[in-house]
Amino acid sequence: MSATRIYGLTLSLLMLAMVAWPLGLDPLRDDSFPLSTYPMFAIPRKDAQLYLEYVVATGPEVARRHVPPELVASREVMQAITTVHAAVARGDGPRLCRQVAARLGGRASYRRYDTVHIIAGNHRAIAYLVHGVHGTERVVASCPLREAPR
Amino acid sequence: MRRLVDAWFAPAPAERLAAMRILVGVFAFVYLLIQVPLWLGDAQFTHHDFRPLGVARALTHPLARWQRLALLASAIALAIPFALGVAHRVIGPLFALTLTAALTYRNSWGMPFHTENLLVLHTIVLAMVPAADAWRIGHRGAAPAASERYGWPLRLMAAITVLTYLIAGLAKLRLGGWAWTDGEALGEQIAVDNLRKHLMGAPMSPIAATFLSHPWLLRGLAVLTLVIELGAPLALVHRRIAAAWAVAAWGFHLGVVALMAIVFPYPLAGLAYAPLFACERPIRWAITRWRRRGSAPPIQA
Repeated sequence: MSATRIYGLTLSLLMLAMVAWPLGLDPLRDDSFPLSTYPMFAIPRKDAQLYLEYVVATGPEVARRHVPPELVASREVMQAITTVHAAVARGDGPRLCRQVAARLGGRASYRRYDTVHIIAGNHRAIAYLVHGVHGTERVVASCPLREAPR
Repeated sequence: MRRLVDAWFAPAPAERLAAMRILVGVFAFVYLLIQVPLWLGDAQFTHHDFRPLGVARALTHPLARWQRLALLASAIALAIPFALGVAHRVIGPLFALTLTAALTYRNSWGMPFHTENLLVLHTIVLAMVPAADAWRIGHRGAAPAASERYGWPLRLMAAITVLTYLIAGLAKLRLGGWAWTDGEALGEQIAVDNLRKHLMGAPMSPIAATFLSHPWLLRGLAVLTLVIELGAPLALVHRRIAAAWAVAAWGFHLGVVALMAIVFPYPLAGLAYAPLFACERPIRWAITRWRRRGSAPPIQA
């Protein structure tokens, strides 16, 4: 067998074994990078129940507005979720609330809002999206949204 | 067995492997460049959220801001000589290491994305093979003849692509069983993902609610998803099957964008499937055109 084939076979088998390695692991617990168990869209979610902590802005004359992830923590929704959840779990909700309020202050699009809330909501996703049925919500932290000094 | 090995080592043109190097290098450069604002922001990289994965497990603490930005800058800077084929034996492994480190670090904040795995895995392969024997900057003269040296790396990259799809399909069966095909679990995923986006103030799919109201649509999508994922290895059998599978898999990712606003840039750009095809053709066309323009006489005033 030529040197090319020995090298090619060794590297091929090694790479394929590495990529296939996560098949022997727990798909949810052992996901990693770049070797992954690829559990996306696979996790069963009973009744599409969703418990989530999120940030909203409210004002006296406007409907409440869900604050986008880039103003909470990161452009990536999942990472922003992790940040909010971790902050609430640590008891740092009020601090995160003030940080978000500071980011929103002075933004023209938030001029009519005066308060930021971190909410813990429990919703059934299909009922919410298809029938507009909202679940329960609890305010974890609230803080005033002041305009940044000019 | 002998036939299988011979098929694995069937010759391919050096330009095909070089084309993959150029495509992956350019993609990585643009992809990382787009991510710069994300890396500049500190909010995503808070100490408390650090959940190191893969090689990042070697870190006990998150990197300092300047280290994090230096890592990204190195990966961006190395993508250029990698794409150009400069000193490939040195730059190739250096780029693969830096890219792996940078993207692993980015995925180490509580949520691995699954959108960057193939880019890293393909880069690792390209770094360890003679991917710059043709179409490298400063190289004049004809490319080497087609050889088995250039064939197996392409087959390996293609096999890695289909293997990742197979693993994704098997994960669905391991977690949801065959019941996953009834579409209920997929519907719940789509609903939860969209509601999550809505509650987090991010754009959600405009058609998700329609699909969620029609379970038969979800059932069809679930079956199609599993057929694509579990049937992925068939793409290695014949070029026509590969073409049909690549179109179906690409369409699947397009569906994911439409239903969940989740973008898998590497497959959507076609690079995940490029090793299955004569991917050197568009680049050869572009190079020929560029050379013709370069040698054309100046336009008379």
